[in-house]
Amino acid sequence: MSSSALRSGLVKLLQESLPLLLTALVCWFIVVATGNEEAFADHWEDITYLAREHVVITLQGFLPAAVAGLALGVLLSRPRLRRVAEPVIQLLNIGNTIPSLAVIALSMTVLGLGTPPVVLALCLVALLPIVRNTYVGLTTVPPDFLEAGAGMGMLPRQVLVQVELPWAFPAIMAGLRTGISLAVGTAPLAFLIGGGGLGQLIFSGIAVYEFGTILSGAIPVILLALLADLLIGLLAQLLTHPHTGT
Amino acid sequence: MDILTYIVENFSTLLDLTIQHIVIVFSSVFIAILTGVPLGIIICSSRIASRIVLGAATVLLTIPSIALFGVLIPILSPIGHGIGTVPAVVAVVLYSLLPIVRNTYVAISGLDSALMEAARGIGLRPWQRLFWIELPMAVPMIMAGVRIAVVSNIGVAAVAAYVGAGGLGRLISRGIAQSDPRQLITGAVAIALLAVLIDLVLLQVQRLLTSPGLRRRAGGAS
Amino acid sequence: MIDIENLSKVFSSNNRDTFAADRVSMRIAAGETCVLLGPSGCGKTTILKMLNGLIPRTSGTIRINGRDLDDFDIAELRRSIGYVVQQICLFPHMTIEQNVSIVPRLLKWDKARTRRRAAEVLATVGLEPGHFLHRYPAELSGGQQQRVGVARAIAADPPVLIMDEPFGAVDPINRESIQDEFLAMQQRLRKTIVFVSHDIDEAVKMADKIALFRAGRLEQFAAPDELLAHPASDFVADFVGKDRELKRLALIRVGSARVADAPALSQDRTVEEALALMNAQGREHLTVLDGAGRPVGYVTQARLSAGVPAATLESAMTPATSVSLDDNLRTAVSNMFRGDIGWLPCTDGEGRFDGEISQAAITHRLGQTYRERR
Ligand SMILES: Nc1ncnc2c1ncn2[C@@H]1O[C@H](COP(=O)(O)OP(=O)(O)OP(=O)(O)O)[C@@H](O)[C@H]1O
Ligand SMILES: [Mg+2]
Repeated sequence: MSSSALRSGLVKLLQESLPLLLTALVCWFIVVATGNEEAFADHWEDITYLAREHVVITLQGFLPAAVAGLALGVLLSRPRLRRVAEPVIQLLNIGNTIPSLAVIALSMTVLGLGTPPVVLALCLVALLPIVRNTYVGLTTVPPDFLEAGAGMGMLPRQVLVQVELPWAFPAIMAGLRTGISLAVGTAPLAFLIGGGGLGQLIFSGIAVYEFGTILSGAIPVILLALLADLLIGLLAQLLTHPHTGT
Repeated sequence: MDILTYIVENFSTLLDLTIQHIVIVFSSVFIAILTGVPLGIIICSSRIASRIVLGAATVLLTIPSIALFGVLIPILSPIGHGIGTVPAVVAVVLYSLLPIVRNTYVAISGLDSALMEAARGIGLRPWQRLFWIELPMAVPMIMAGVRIAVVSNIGVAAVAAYVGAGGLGRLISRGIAQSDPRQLITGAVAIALLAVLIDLVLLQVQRLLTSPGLRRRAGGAS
Repeated sequence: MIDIENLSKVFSSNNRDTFAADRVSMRIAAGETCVLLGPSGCGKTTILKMLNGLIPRTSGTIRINGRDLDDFDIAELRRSIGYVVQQICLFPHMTIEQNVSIVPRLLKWDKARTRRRAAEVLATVGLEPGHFLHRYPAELSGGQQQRVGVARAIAADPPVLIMDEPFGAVDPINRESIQDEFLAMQQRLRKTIVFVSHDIDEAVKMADKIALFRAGRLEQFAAPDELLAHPASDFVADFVGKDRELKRLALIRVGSARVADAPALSQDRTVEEALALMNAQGREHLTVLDGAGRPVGYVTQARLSAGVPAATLESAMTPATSVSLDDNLRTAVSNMFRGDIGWLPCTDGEGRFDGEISQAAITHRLGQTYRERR
């Protein structure tokens, strides 16, 4: 990699992480303005422990959702399943409007308290946009491309891997981005059904009306959400480069 | 069957909570429309302003709702509203701004420049262009933004129950606290239904507000 | 009246200056149609848009009815200048009626008058009002949309019209008819029109004056016949084409080239009478008329002398077409070619015989302008 490419990469990285950095600054300002630096320091141990837990449950929900969502999206887009695909997608669209607190609550009524209902809820919440975007991306490949692929003697699987998936890539990445952002947004609610995570600090802080505790939970949650968004955005860019040849 | 009995017995409470929920969401989205649409229009004239505003709004939307409440509580408590309906309304307004501002901006900045020049050329003044041409043509996009805002904020308002706002989220919070599946399920299903129904209703409203001339064009030439 | 003096427009982009208008001066009299003509990119649209202030001038003055453009309230001025846009640009969210009514509404006409006017102008541009008023632009063909674009411009009856390739999106056949309708309308309304075109035939047909541009420079500003007969430069001569004399044909009325004292006889006269008349006047042919004095055929000396077994001209004549004095020479020549004949009888407004036109007379008429110059 040439040095100019490296430099432009770094500039890009800085640009992309600007929202995270600025938000961190604003958050710190709020902590200071409300006089909660000390409370924040006091909670540091809880924060690191709970943050780790938070990340783990988020990933436990998101990763299966990503795999299942991609598989389901590909499956639904196959010609043989086209007829069932439309109603299924309609159903997913409706499912998408259901608020995550409702999903968490319903998940608890099925699986009880603890980590399993949390993982199920996060997985469901993240699944919908991933399936939908994968499906939409794959079904909007221009027919010419498909014909060209088939004309060159590719097998259906080769067409999928070499033509369709690269075309649908941006849509799929957008779906993953929405999915992770929904999972991260729902994760703080895990505490309500005994799933742990940073939600614990927020909810218990609200219960006792203690700003320091609330902020110790809220601010890491915010930064983690922005970090997840940043990482998946960077991943998308990294993976896009070879395709566009830039 | 427990649940049905519960619903029948507590019907008036349920109705109250539903109305509270709807009022929180709609009054906040209304405020967001009143501020977001003008904001979206204003930033059309400056690239820098549009990048800052849209960037900030995107960040806001990435923030999980309970974390936003968490930050709002210490900020709003000095004016005596750390807990209650006010943080809920403020949060919903903030969350609604992005889809509304962004869609307004995209719709208006994306208008055909030749068309806008024609509007100037036949003698429309800036305000007339805004109200006769730009806004009517942006209605479908703006309404799509409003729809996204309303539907996604039904969920935000549900979480707001935990900061003391009313609404159907109360049923879930009580259901969890009292380990009462009847309230829990009733609350969750009611919120889900409300979101789905309002989405459908707003879709119809969007259709009604869109000029048939734009509808046909969006659906492809005849 | 539009007065343009030393008008210049410089576009600077990437450190390069483009002169879209370079010290252009011209005067367009009230009631006149002036066509701005020239190759793509020569600055026609730019000059047109400077007239209603859509493009600011770099230097120079524009006066409309003696008043400087800067002294007008620009929005008010624009409402008094009907504007037809190159890309048509109807407002897609408005019905055809609303599109057409927009300037009357700006001028605060009352509702009834606006409504009446909308139907009226649609009819003027050849669109059935009942059928189109309540449709939306997307439901119309490109040509129909263009007609609506013209209707919108003339709706408030502005004294001045500026039009940027108003008939560009219409197929050749429809273009002919919409041009004809527009000419007829202009005959009645006598507006001051500035009209952009890059089609020399359209310009010749529509214009009282043609302004021919090249890279922002006004190459020639003259009446169409003058432009065709006396191109001011090689560029103009090239632009108008090698067949420019043929184009002039379309500009000249048959009446102005006709031979008035041509012989004619009623169809019930005898062959001998016809031969005698031709001999007396030294003519090779004569026109045969019906009872009402309308030309129905002709006879030639050669055929009659060869001996025809007929007593009256009615059975001896060859049927012939005629041409109206109001037609142009192009029609006349075309008819001559079709009939493989060197002359045609002419008719007046009622279809009665009124002299004849011949190829020699046409050549003479076209050459007139050159002899005068010498
Ligand atoms: N906004 C602009 N910025 C820079 N250059 C411009 C601009 N508008 C026009 N030009 C240039 O000015 C010149 C004249 O453009 P104009 O649109 O007036 O041409 P035109 O005669 O109307 O052409 P056409 O027949 O293709 O419509 C062209 O060289 C064009 O590239
Ligand atoms: Mg042009």
